[in-house]
Amino acid sequence: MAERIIKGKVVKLGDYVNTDVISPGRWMREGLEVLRLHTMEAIRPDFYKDVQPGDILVGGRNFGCGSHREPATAIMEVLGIAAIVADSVARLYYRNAIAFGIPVFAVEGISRMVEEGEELEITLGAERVTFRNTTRGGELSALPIPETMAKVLEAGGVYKLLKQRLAEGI
Amino acid sequence: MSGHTLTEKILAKASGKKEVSPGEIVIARVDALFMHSPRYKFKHFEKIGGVKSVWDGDKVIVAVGHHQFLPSSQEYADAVTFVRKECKRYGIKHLYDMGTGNGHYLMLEKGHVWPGAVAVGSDSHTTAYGCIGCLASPMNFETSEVMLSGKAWFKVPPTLLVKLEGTVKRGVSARDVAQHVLGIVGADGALWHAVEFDGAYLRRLSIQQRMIFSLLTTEMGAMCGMMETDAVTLAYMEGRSRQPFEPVYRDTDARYAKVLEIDVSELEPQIAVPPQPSYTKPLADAAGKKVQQAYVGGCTGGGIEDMRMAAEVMRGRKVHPEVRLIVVPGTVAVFEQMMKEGLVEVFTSAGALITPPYCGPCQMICVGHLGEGETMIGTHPRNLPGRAAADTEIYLASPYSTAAAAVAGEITDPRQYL
Repeated sequence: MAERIIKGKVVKLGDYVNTDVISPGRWMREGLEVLRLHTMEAIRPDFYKDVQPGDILVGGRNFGCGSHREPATAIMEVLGIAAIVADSVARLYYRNAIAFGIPVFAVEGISRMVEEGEELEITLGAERVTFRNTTRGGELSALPIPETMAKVLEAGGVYKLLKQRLAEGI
Repeated sequence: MSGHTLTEKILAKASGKKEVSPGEIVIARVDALFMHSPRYKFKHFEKIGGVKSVWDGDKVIVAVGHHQFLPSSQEYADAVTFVRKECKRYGIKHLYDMGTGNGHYLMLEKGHVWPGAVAVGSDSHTTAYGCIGCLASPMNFETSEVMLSGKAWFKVPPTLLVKLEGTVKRGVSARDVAQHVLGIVGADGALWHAVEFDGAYLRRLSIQQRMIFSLLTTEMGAMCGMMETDAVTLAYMEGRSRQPFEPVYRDTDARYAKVLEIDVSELEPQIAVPPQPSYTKPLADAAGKKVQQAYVGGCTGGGIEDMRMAAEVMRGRKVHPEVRLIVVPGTVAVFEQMMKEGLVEVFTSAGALITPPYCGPCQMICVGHLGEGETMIGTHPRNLPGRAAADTEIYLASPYSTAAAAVAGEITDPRQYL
């Protein structure tokens, strides 16, 4: 994967942000535009007013735990979230985000390195991925996303990858 | 050279490798794909264009009756009609329709999984089938790709071995033990790990009771919750498996990231308090908490033994006037067995409500919603915030403890009723 930079304003959440919080059962079947108004409301009312397209979500431990309902990932695309970075990420949420084409990173210590409103710059290099707080300094790095998943991300998600493959007759 | 765990050995076999080690990424063939609401996936197929059929119609299982026993809205009715039509279009041979039951119990009961197989599913509790020695792991979007390729990627996990020894006291059930283990490991204690269970206590349990342990590993962040095949498994599989199988066993010198040894002999009834399934406490700590709804069922409480435990408490007693007790059998076969054993009469004469088999009011999307400010106790797997109305609380416990709360109107030690 060629070097790529994702830069955005940080929207900060706590530990254990679960998929019932991201996508409450009562709203998730009403369509993504309705869900947008209710996402995170159990922990942060009117969350949708606080996020702008291009923002980066930063979480604490086990981001995205709970069920792996599709709207909990799809809503990130509707909100225009550029990337999700957390101290640790639930396995299912990680798989779903990659499959949906949303860059997601588990980086121990990220929640202590950035605060709400600061700017985070993510550089995806071939050897390492680095995370830099451009507002007040601080840097962390992690291993790159494994190749199998990087291919999915590069294609823009599993559906786009499938389309490419079907077009190639595989 | 050291040996391999059950998880490693199944992943090696399914990916055509001699052996695999933690951290490695492998692409494995899939023997069963479970879905309950593939509407989005079919819509995506249409957007992609050119999709003709799934890779093997015999290996894709759709349980549209998992979340709702009958459509609760026009929108849901239309969604189910669409899914039925699309299953035919793509050659999916196994569709369990409304009222047939909870998909996880059906996958086992109808022989769609077997020891040594690899199963994936678009429900986070797909870890359930580890109880028969099948590597079962949840994933969601990717199931669209699995539907076409019959393959899935896995990161070979480090393994946590949990050994359960001893005999439980009267009134303490498999759920109490599983809840205790979940409390020790924690919500992310097995993140990206496999959990394998063993021990004399576990090997005495039935398949449906073992399933509680496998299923709850997803609440620890795990990839799968495995158990070795034994005589109980083989007896359960007799005449059930859709394919001849060869069980896979762990090597005696397998290497584990961690081993947890637990003696269950002194364990008291346990309870998960809001807002996490892993927040386990002794039930006594929550005693006196008033409940308005009690629920026996769900994918960790819809088995026949769960029904027997709840009925043992309810026999000759009445549901408290300020409580609704909802009983949800896991499948039609469980329901039929309840009728044979007279359990249906025990529940109805106590004033409980029995619904047709499905996954139950765990996610509040069919019937049984909580009103603002209400508290529920149930045998289901999850109590996360956002699952019900904002101002509600959900406690998770054994069928004994759930039934006892329905009688008393508050959380209480069930042993006084046994």
